[in-house]
Amino acid sequence: MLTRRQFIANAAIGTATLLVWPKLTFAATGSDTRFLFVLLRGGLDGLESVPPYGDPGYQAIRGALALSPSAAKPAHKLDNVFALHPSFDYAAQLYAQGQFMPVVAAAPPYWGRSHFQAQNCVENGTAQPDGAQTGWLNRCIACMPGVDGLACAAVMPLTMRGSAKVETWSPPLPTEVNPILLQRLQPLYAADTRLAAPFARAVAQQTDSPVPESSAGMMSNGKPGKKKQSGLPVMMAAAGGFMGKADGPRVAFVEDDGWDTHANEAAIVTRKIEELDAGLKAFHQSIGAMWGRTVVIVATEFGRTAHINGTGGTDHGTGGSMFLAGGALRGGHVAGKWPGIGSGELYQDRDVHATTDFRAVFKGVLAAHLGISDSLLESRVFPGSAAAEPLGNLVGPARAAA
Amino acid sequence: MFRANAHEPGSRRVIGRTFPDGGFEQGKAILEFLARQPATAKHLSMQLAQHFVSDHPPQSLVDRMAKSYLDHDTDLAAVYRTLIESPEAWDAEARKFKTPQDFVISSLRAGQVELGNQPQPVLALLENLGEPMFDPRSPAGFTDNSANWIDADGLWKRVQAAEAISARVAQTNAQPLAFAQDVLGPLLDEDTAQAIRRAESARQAHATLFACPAFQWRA
Repeated sequence: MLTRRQFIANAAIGTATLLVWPKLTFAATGSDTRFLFVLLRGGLDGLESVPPYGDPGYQAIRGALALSPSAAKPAHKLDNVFALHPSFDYAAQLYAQGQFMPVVAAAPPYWGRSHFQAQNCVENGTAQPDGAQTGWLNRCIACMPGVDGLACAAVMPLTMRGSAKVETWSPPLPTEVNPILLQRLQPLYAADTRLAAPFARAVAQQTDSPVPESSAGMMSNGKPGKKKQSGLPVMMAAAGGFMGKADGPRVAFVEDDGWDTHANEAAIVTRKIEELDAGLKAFHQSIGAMWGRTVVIVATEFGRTAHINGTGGTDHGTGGSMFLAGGALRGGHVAGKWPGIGSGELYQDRDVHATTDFRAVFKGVLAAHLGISDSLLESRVFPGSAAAEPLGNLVGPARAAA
Repeated sequence: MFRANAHEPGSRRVIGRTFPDGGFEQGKAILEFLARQPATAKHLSMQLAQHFVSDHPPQSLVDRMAKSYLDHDTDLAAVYRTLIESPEAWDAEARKFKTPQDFVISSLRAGQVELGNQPQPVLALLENLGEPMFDPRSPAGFTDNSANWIDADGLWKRVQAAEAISARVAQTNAQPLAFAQDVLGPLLDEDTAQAIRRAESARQAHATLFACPAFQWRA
């Protein structure tokens, strides 16, 4: 393995770079499955990501934003009603192999249209903003003895806050640390009661840790280009790199933002779905053989208005799409009851009416894939969610690596 | 700004009280009514105490601040005075872990680093540390809870950032220890002072100062 020191030496004489991951250790217990939750902040448009081209009301209501398998830039046909956005090239391949599944007309139990409150509910796992101060995925991990989680984020997101042990990871800074400085700092941190343990973990993670192929000088020529540093392809590749190891984290979280398409939606959604699609591909490649025992859920806080607004975009809505992927998924079909978008079918005459509570999907995967009991799902992970019965038949037997 | 044509006419009922139709004056009356609610006093006081004192401020302090707020008809200056004059605010345990922005700005100011019209590297650094300028991932904003900022990955990045920032500090400073005393004041403990004194160069002394645990706290 290439160590940090060797990497620097090699880089200096212009030899190859290698993409490998820092050493984090996670206890692996019980059934060896993997679960990744991807949160798209801002509100992904369900009618754009999974166009219901076969719904008789679709063309009229969507106008210039309407997509179709027969358009010049064709959407990926899924069945006689639904297609996937043209940018979902890789997802469409997975769908053909039964390893991708959109859920249409889905929403969290909160039906207001505030980003703040809706994301809070998606993360805290209740029907109320501030309904819990911890995240549902952390509570899920707390139900899995000996299992740690991983949040691919620079700061712990609410989804992963709570009593269970979760590490954060984000792309490392390329600045080398002087080993003598490190020696001097260690006793100082050891004496700080609050910082001693995390600092010791930080040092342990760096020892002999390889460096990803990142070379931008931190204080020399860095640009605030979030998409490059921490976009979905980078973060999902990282998550897969950790989760693919035999002792890797079983449960992980990745987030992205920039989905709030009030104006010029066609171009933005095309770019963003390209990123998500590339993220799925990168994750699949980096998790390797473990893909066969993996389920991914991609969710956003709400769908968007069915009608287009005056600036070529859409506003905050209700029912939207969520996506499942993975080698352990029983996919290859469109899930969720379609409420229609014709006259009288829209919620409050403006949004896709949500027919699936996110929690029904989460619970179905957590139960079948992570082995969380129904009683723990009801009492700890999603309290007060009895009405959202776990969706069945989401997970199949593990697949061998493709 | 008040846009009359965007204002929905009619009376409003807020927390059991009815406000008659009245355009701008109606909105102002509602805001003033809300500002004088005891729940507002409690909420503002808790947020201020959590920001300036600790994640879990003593209830006695929050109660006194809320009382000042109501006793002085919502005058925030009175609340601040109560906060500053409270012994709880100066307790040894009353400390907050610097956010990445606090950390970066305090390092740059201590090191008198001039950015001129080149803020990009610092913006990139803030993003790497998890606090991109004006761009929180959640609409709730950046967390004000120290527990959410303290983790292994974040501490390591601060050490790296300390190295990077120290490279930008003018090397004319021949007295790094006096410099550290100026920056940390009473927070400079003997062990940290010794680590700075023993640094191999002024640059390493600055890196040690920015990376040391004492510098990570607002006290």
